[in-house]
Amino acid sequence: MAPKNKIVITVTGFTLVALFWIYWVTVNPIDEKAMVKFISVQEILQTEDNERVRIGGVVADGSITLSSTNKLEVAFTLKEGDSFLPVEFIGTRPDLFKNGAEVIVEGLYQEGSFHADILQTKCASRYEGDLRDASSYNLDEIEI
Amino acid sequence: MTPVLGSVSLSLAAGFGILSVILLSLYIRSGDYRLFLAGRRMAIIVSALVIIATLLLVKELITSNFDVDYVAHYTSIETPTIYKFTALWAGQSGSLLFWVFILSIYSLIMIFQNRNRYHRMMPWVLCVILTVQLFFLILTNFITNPFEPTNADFVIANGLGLNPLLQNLTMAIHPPVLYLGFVGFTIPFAFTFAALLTNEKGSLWVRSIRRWSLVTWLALSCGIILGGWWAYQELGWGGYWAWDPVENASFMPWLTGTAFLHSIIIQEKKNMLRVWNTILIMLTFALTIFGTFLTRSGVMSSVHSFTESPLGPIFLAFVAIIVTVCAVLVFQGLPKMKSDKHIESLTSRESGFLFNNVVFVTMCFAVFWGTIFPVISEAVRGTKITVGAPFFNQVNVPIGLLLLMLTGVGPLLAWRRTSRSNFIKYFSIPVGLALIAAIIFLLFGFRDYVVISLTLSVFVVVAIITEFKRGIQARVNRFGESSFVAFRTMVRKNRSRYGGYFVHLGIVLMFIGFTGQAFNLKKEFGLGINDREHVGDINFELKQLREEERPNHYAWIAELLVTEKDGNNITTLRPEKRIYFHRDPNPDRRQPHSELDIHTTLKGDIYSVFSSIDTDNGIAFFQIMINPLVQFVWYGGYILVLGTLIALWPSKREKLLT
Amino acid sequence: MFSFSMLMLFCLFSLVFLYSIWPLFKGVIFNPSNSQDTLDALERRKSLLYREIQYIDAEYDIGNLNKEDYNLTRTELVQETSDIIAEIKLISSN
Repeated sequence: MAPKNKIVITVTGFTLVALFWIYWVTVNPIDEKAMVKFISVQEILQTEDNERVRIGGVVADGSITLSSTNKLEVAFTLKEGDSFLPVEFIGTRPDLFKNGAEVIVEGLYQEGSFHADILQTKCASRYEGDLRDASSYNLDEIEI
Repeated sequence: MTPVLGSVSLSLAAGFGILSVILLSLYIRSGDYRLFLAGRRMAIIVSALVIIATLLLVKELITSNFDVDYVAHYTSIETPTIYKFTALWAGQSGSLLFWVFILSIYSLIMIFQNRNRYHRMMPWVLCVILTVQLFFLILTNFITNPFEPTNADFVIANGLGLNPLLQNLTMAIHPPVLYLGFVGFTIPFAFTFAALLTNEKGSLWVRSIRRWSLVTWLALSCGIILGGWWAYQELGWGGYWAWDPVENASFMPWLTGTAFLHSIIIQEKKNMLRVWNTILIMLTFALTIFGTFLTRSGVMSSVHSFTESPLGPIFLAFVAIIVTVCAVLVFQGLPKMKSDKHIESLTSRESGFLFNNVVFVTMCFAVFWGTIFPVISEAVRGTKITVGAPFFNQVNVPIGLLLLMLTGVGPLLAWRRTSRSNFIKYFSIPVGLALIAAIIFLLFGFRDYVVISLTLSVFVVVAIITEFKRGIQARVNRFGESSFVAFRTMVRKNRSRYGGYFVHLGIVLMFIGFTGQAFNLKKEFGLGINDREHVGDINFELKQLREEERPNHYAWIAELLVTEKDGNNITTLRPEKRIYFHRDPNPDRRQPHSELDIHTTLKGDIYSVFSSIDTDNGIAFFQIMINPLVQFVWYGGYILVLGTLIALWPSKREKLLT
Repeated sequence: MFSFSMLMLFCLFSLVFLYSIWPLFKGVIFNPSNSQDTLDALERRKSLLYREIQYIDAEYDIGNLNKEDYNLTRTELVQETSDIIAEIKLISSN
């Protein structure tokens, strides 16, 4: 076979294998944390599914309760719009975790509460878009 | 006054930019050289005006003029001066201005370098660069103007200030270094575009953009590594790469850019792979704009935030236009671009480079796929599926190992074809030693990817050493030089190649560092005074817990005694838990921050995080990570930089060609 | 609002604008792109070829190139170099 054809075949073959591999990992990842559905609080309260999901929301004010036996264990309520979800998490809490913080949790919804094994707060270092709202400014006011 | 001047500069820049493009286009049609001269002068003025506008913004930042919205938002009176300066790229409008600022500097350098040559290509090159400048000028003039005045009825006494998390040197340098890399690819892209349109064949212009591409690539590599370094040192999760969309945004152009750097060697030497190179640089440039879009438009957090600001759709439109125009041009130019020469053998250096291209593009596609999958899944099926690090790791590890293998195989192949005897002659030692190493690793108990990775690392290192030896031997035989002199002369006469081998060595070290992750350990626990806990074979004992009030924060300092299983002292770690704004009456405004302490050795890092404190019971909670071999990643990075500098170092003859 | 600084800025702007369009008012300029580019390109190609010949000499010594390919390529390169030198002589003597 002419070398040129050999090369075309090898390259095409490799490309097909690679594309198949990417497809395979997409639908069959080894780790369940690879592809996780991101849903809303409202959806999870209504769903019957028992699969691993990711949910975003805000920590409801005053809902953070630390366990008296294990200080690494925390329970709080995740609020999104008018929906509320009780969450339990065992592990190191991120520094920015507090009332009103934007968080993302990942885990399973079981028996009325969400058991999260991942808790993330919105990255403070991400450069935000403009916040033209004057109320978000921490400014001293001087009357003109 | 100054902010008005700044705005005016930006508007004038846009005006001159449009005028320049018009004049240059007229020149291309008519050939009247006066039009070119005028157009080029205007291009220079555009760049100068952008630079002036940027300097004006810097002045406003440093003098804390809170009448400018941007200054009020990203600095405060207390912010240290250096961070007032770095606020230039902290926010959206500033960073977009910064993008075109860097491009303008590059443009001026490029114009100066080529003032007396490439007369046919230059008008096109300038038009391309001006178009990109105009894009960012449209954004900063009409959509996010950095000189926008503060929208308030009251006099603003102090600004918001910069988050203490961001106030460290690495975070300050990381964006500009990254931008120097990102933006730089515009120049080789402009030249390639121009060459395509003027039917410039051959390898000459490729040689001149080789330098540009290498400098840009170096900056991008440094930017990426710095980002990983910062994440590791500051963020506290013990890792350096999370396959975050923003990280991927910088990694994708790096992949195609690296392929491009390698592939243009073939175009230079053999005038082959021209179509590949054109596509690679176009992809790289498109990916840099796409990357800026990913980072700036907020599309990854939600499709909803994407539509809130017109920035996202405009960026996407620009990327779409670039891709379409380039695709059309390539398709039309295909018959003329195809080389009459062909790759003659599967086991040739040329074919090695071809495979290199294919593998890099494959990895780039895999990363791209994973990055935009959430957006696609939401658009197509309504459910958003987030793609996490495990996906990227699973997909990319085998591809990465393939690349590692090619790093060793490539240089061992001969041009045109490797004869059977040569194949055995050059491959036997590296392959042989690698197999022996593999057996040793298996005996040590390593398995799967760890064995493959370490074996390939051995293979590549031996291959690189044999390459050096062969070169030295050839000189010794022909010129009778001593080995040392031969080594120096050899490197001096072919800096690209031997500098490149050093870069490969750096990559191997980084892969060894990556492999160490397979042995990472992590544990979370609480300790009272004199309590002990172990992670793997290492023991941690809390000896002391101090409290300290400091100027802008309150700190708890833990003293952890770290010992080996047999009792030998390793070190004392002092992680801190700090509260910034601790005197704020509102407890939600106080900001806790964990200051890590890391014990670093070549064998591995012991990484300690003081996560929280239970003051009632006197218990401190820690997160401890053992990260074996992680330092290899940084050392590999240093060698990569060293190798690139060797390759870039000018030799006397270079002046003729660049 | 008319102020001294505004006037100065306007003058500055006019000067800059004039500077940029000045070339349009010169008489017709000989376009260097035609012969200059060609000569330039030939000179650069010549330097590149010299480098290439040295490169394959080294490659052959190291063993990355087999004998017949080496001889073949070298002959091609040397031929091209002498052609270019002749062409340069021709153009510069015009």
